Amino acid sequence: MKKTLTILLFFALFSHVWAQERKLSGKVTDENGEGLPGVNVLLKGTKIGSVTDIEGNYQIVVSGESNTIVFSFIGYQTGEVEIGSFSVLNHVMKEDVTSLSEVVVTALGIEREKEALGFSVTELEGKGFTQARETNVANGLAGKVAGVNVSNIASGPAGSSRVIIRGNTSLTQNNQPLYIVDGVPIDNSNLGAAGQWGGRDQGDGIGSINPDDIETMTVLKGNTAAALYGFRASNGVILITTKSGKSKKGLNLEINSNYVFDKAINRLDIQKEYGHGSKGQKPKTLEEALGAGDIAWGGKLDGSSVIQFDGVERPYAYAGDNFDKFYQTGHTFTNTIALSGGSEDMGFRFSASKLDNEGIIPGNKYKRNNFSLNANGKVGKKLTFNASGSYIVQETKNPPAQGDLVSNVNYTVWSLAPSINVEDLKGDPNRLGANPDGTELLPATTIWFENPYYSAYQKKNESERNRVLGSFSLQYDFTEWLYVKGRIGVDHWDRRNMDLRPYGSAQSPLGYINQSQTKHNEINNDIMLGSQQEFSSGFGYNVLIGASSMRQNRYSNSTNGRDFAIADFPHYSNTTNRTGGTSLWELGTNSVYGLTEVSYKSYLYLTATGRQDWFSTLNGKGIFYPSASMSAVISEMVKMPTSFTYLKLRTAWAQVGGATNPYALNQTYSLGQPHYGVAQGGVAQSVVANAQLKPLTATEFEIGFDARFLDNRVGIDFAVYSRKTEDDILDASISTTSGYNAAKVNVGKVTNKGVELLFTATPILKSKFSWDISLNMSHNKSEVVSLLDPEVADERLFVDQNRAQTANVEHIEGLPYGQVTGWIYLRDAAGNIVHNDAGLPMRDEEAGLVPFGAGVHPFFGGITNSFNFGPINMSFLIDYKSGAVIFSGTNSWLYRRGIHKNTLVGREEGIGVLPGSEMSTYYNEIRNKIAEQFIYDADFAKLRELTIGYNLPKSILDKLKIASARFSIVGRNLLLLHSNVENIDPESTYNEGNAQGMDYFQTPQSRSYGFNLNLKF
Amino acid sequence: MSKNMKSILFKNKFLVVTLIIIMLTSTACEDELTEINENPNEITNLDYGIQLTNILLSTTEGGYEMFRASLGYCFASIQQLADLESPVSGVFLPGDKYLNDPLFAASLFDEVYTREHKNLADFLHRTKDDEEAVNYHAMGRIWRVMSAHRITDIYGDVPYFNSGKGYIDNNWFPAYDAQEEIYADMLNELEGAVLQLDPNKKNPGTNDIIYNGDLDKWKKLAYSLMLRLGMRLTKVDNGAAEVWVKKAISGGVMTSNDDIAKIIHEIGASRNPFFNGFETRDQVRLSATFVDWMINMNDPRLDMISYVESGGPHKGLPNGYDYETIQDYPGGNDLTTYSNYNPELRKWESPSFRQTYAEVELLLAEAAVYSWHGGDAAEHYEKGVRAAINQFGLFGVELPSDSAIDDYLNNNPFDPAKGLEMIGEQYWAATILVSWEGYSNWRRTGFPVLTPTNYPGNVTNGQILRRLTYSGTEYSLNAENVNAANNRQGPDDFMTRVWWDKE
Repeated sequence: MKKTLTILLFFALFSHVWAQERKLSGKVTDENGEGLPGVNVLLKGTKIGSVTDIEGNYQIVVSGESNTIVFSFIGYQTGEVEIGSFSVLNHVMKEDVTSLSEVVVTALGIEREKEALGFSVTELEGKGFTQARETNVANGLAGKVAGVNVSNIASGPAGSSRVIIRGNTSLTQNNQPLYIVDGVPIDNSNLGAAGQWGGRDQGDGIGSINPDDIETMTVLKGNTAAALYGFRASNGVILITTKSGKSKKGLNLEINSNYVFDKAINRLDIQKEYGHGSKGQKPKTLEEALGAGDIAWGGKLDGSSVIQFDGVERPYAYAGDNFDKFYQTGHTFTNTIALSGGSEDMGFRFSASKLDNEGIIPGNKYKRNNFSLNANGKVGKKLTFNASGSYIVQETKNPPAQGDLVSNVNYTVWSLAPSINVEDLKGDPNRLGANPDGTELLPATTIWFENPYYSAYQKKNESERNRVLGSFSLQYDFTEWLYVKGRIGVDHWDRRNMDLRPYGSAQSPLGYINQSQTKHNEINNDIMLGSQQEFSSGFGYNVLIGASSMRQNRYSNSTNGRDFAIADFPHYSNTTNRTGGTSLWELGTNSVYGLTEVSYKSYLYLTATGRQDWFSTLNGKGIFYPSASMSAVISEMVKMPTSFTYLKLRTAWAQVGGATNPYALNQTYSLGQPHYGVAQGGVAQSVVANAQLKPLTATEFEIGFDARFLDNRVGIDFAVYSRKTEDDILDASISTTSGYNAAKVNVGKVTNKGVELLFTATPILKSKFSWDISLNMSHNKSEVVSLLDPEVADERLFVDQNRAQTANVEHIEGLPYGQVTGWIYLRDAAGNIVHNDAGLPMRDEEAGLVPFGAGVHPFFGGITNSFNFGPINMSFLIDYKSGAVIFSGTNSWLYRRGIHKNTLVGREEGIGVLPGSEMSTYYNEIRNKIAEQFIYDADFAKLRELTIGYNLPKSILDKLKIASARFSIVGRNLLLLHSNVENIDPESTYNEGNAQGMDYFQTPQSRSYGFNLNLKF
Repeated sequence: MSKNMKSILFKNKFLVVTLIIIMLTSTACEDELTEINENPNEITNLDYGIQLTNILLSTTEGGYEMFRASLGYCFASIQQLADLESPVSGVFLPGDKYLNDPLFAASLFDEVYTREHKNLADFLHRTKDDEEAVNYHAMGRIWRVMSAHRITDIYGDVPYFNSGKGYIDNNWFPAYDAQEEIYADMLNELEGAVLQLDPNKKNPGTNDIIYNGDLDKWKKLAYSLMLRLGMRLTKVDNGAAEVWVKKAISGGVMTSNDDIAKIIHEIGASRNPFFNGFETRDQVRLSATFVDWMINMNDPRLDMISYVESGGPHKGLPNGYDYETIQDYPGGNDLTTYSNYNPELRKWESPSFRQTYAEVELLLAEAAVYSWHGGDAAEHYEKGVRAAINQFGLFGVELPSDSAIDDYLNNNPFDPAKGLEMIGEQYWAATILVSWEGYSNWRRTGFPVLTPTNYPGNVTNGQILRRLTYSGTEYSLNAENVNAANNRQGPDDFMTRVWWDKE
């Protein structure tokens, strides 16, 4: 094949030789030094040209007509080079960061010209996610795309992502985008999260994807961009196209190896002057030591010998940093091997990947194996197919427990008195965290102050998920301008989970084992008929009609066994109390849709789309979703100043929807546990069912421009949008005397208005050195316009409460989405805190829960600087967010325990009428009643990514018989450049839900650094 | 359409037709979509009996309000229980020191409507017009009174007529009904329900986990409840009280401990609420007032009710103390030396009582004092006391011998001069197992005479509280209606008296 092509090229070139004078040859490579096939090589101003061969080599015969040669290729910046007297001219093609390609994959996998799009779309290359990588690829979006707000959830490597595009649309429902892999929607549901009463983040759907398999990730930000997804479009869409073998010829082998260390970032700055004990006294007896095992209200650390929880006397002195002692250096090792190849008509790529992670918390492990196969090709002249499939196995062990104290190792490690060494809690070396008799070794009397080693090593929470993602599409081209395309896609996964509390644990002395299994299936079918033509008059059209169906079901069963009969036999058969259950839910949607685009002379495009969805969840009721957009390439219409390379204006409007859950329309009955064998049951719902329910509607208008200057050296992409969400489905709280806690209603109105700016520049562009800047900035201003009753002002809607129970997240009319609210101090006219007769600070009961600000940052962005020095390149990303607040339950609890530095005040001299010995009462009162003290501005800036790469020069590569080799040093979350939060990271997010701005002993963020090695053969 | 396109479409007729068919079929299957939305995990129509079991079972107090409102306020404020916790250490029994804990006070209100009235309203709605289901419907009506009278006795004016109808009537913010009207309706309901019971109609059988379908026992229960509620009116409307008490007696009230309305709990399934309430709160002890009362009269119940961990003599914990102030009291703050509520009476599977025979006899004794019937007050008093002692047999504890009970009665004979006081005290002791009833009867009769405590920070000015306060969430969700109730009844605090608790 290769030979044939070379010969063809040779002949093609040869035909010109007779008429021309001089031969020019050379090699065109990409920035990695790899030969680029298919590059157009043209003698400027002539029709003389050539194309590079498989190795990137070209030959061209130059005449005296021109002295400039132009290299152009989709996705790369066009390069012009003076020929001079060279006979060999090599050229490095620089990738075009602003427009990777002229053709963009849009909704439903429809490829459209970038010019034609009247809305904002951002396309990212897969390689941006593979260097300084995240285990959950969605987290790799942080700071990279204007309008996309990524929360770095503090829940370990197997944790979920929270990606919010252009603000939160729904008050209480899911706000995360729809993910599409190779044209097929994938399930991104969260499989368990920490909440006010604890829990573990069991990961989400996007976390299954191997970043090494991603060719491009396209963010369809606005509702118009996503409009063809109808009911699934309200939160935006992220399209992932996996790598295929199409552009490669012959067999190519690629190996990528990535190894990083993860180090917990210690932000704790605790008091180190007073030890365990109470009332300012050192404990004298074992009882006193145990009674005060969880508080540091003891005496001043003086080095004397004082009894501890285990009856051992140790020096009453700072025992060292428990944080550093407890957390371990985690590591993540990811290896991917990919084989790709193909011929003119076929292409394939197979990859296998293994990710092996050990967390910073002992016992926390995560493994992911991905196997992907992608094949595409032509059958005959008119039929093309594309098939992709992956099989993914994910295993998680002990994802961090957080949100509440149960099994939360951070809680105990951070709260231990400075006089206690966490390592003294290790107990039995053969059973860490346990007493010799096997029971949990507690550092205090209370069972609610657990042993972190016991939680890490003896309790087990394990899951395994097997997933198959598949997509197959066929396209038949009747003519050049008419085609029919069909696609079927499947997402199937099954997962089992086991949660074990061993016999002997303090809170469940007899232990329990809970197991569950869940199977999820989604099948999507699409068929579409499309036609596209351009006429000599300058007019063109692109029309498409299609239909699709979606069917989803999820089955789960659980078996819960309590009270082991025999110690150390953690099996269901060994339990003496057993319960279980099964559940199945199904939903389906049928849809028809269409798109019409009319264009004139490739500079004016008008597009309209419509989609009608019929829902099973609404008993077959249907809803129509329209959109319209316009794109005008001004720089093609009128003559612009020469510095203006390109200017496009765009505007769009769309109305899309959100999904609803099955079985919400009617009241039903469920059966409970029988009473002595007699069946019993009652009304299943605690929320009043509503037969009139409909999905929420999001209406968005956007306008923007894309301008490039100085031969694309400077670019500005700007968008303004305004989105309004109405008829949200809410569980509106009602009086419990109605028998129900809430009623399902269509109410509420939320607006999100924002601006997005992407600025790109190449300040230096030399053959030996170049510098690129990409800056994105976003501002999203949200407002909860109305909640339940449009007539009633100042309504509030409870979203979640912090475990500390002094602060909530609420939606409040007239304020931005998701306010962190909390109790404040009672102050006198001069602003001084008022104390009661007992000398305790009082809270302002009248003020109630006061809103402090949104938990979601309205301002965010990032700046990437990339430098190329020949074979070495370096890039780093700094991202920032501002304008939000966080309530730290951690700090409130550190008050209670006398660990927080602020609690040093008054220990000797007392405060007001309270003597020093009563400081625990004083600070407890603050912790119990006041949130104000613990609400911080959550602004931050971080050095998020750093990559320094080196491409081995060709001379060495040739000796090693390697096509390319790149070695990089990578780092993530390297520096926290700005923060005003005490003791915790400003990104200590609770979970991926809508209650952002809540912290309670979250897993610390970790700093990752290591290397990436990429070899191509 | 261009010629070219026509020919293409013509050539590929088959494809185009297929395409159109697929599109049409995918849009025309509303029925299929509706079918998908049928919930396989739940059913749309539930057998009456299965729901009846649920209703009877769920009217056992859950651990939540049992610990908070019942033990925390009612038992403690009438000095049956005590604790040493204070606002500093974390309050367990706010009723011990008359402290304000809004969540504890509202716990019954917060729980009972969603757990009980939702299904009661649905059940009564469904069975109302079904002639075959009259027995189900009647039992539902009686049980609704059982559920509702507790709420109004504790809070006063509460949603009653429209409670639990969030789905049936879309009534999401029910009005608060005056207690006077609630009482009138509850008594009418009891009367009407008894008339509905019909042995010729379908019987719930084993689904009736109280009486296994024994309609006569249901009749006795209804009249016993009528006696309880009728007697409640003595202070506010003595005439009405007499009418209803007489109706109840002539209808036929409970005649033995076999008639007790109780739930037999099951290990691993429904739990005795006392078990729930005490399980994690080891700091609660029997009140010195209660224990001393038993000690002073040499009460044979003492060994059954009281358990001292240290093995020492029975000794109650005085009300109104904390860990600091108790240090001067003999015994100090070592809780193991104080009488605890015998764990044998509060096991997971221990039965829980809704209406006892002992109460009936004691109320009959009171009615005899008023000469509302021809019976002898002393005789009913003795029967009541005997039943109150012997009902512990249902817990599997060893009962005192008949002679011991005889001795007790002989040593403490019924004295007509102190009749009401003696009846009141025995009622107090008998209802140690029926959580709300003792507190309500104490408020009505004033017996036993209790000495209030006066702990710093109490919210009743050193008086025993007269009611509990409404749920705080009502003020944000149902403000208009709760405020209307406050305007009618008085401020929403612990010293406002409910309608029947007339000074």
